[in-house]
Amino acid sequence: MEPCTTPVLLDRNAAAMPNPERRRLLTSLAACGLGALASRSALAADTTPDQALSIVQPPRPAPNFTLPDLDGKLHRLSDYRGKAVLVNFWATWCPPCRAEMPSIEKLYLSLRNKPFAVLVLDQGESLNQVFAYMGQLNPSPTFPVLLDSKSAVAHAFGVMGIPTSYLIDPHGKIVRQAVGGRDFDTAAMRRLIEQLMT
Amino acid sequence: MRRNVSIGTSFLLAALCGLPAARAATPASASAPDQASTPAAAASVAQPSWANHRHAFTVRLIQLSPEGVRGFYENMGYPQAAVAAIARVCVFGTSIHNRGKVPISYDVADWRAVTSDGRQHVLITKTSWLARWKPDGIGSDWSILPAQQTLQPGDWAQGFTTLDVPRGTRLTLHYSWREYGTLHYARLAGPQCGSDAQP
Repeated sequence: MEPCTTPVLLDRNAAAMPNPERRRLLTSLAACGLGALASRSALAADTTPDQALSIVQPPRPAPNFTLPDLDGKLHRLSDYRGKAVLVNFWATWCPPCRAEMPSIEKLYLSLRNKPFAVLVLDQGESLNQVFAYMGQLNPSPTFPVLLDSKSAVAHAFGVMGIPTSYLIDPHGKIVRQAVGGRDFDTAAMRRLIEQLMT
Repeated sequence: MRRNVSIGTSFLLAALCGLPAARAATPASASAPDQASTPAAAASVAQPSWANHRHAFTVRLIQLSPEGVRGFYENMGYPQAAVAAIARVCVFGTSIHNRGKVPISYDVADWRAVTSDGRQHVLITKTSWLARWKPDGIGSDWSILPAQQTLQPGDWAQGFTTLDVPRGTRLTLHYSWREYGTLHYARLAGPQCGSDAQP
């Protein structure tokens, strides 16, 4: 893990900045404390392929939900029955959430023609906040980004912290889960999802 | 005296969060003795952090300044009263990880911070913060470390841990966790509450 710069240096610089810049900087300072282990290597540390997503035994039904995406289109989880679905709970200010997002996109693209869907549920942020962040991502997500503005769905799933991800089988049952960031762009992850499709 | 900003914000952000632009900086130490850990990087360039990586359940605390905490919650849109409440207390960025082979459970309510005078201080849990913030209209929060949680092997989590002690206080964190039915204890010595920079 690399260190964060000193608060002394930051505060001096931040005080001279226009307010939005200052806020962004200060937010990042605190977020750095939250997300100091968000590097790719840290995400992958000590996670064997089997451990990347832990098994949910017995599988439990995923709570159904209906949420809007960034275009206002409503997505209902039950409409994805028959597909494997990766449901990811995140927020733009959460460093490990940000770190894993490109790997989710790569996974999604690699399985584009398969019965597989990705739904990422932003927690408690406005449409503008999320939309602005999407433009900064490379690659930018092509899967639906949904707004769980009151975190009602997160609470229904029993999410304790973000990021948390669930893998749902084609019958609508949660079969795997991961608390904390992961690297989703792995052959093991693709194999796991392809096994669910058969 | 304040300095003008001579380098771009993006560089500072990169430096803050260990992105490639800052990778040449001093690396943090990966592990620490059971009960005594040291600041993870040179004090002149890093936010001090302390870690105990000796057990399956690893804990790392990162010092945060009150100004940083205030800015974080203001930017999150929290009401001023809620921001003021958390900016008044000692806040650490916290990362926990299950590096073992069995599920691990913890309860922050069981953890204690012991200061040099021997006094024990309970941590202010997420549950407590939600109760304190409820009058301010906050019903949900993702920034504070979950008060209780079960982490499967490979799972990890981050969030703020908080306690009500004066700025600059140095402490030893006594924490515990369960691996199946067995209760384990460990200590993390040295964390120091952050202070705002002097002008």
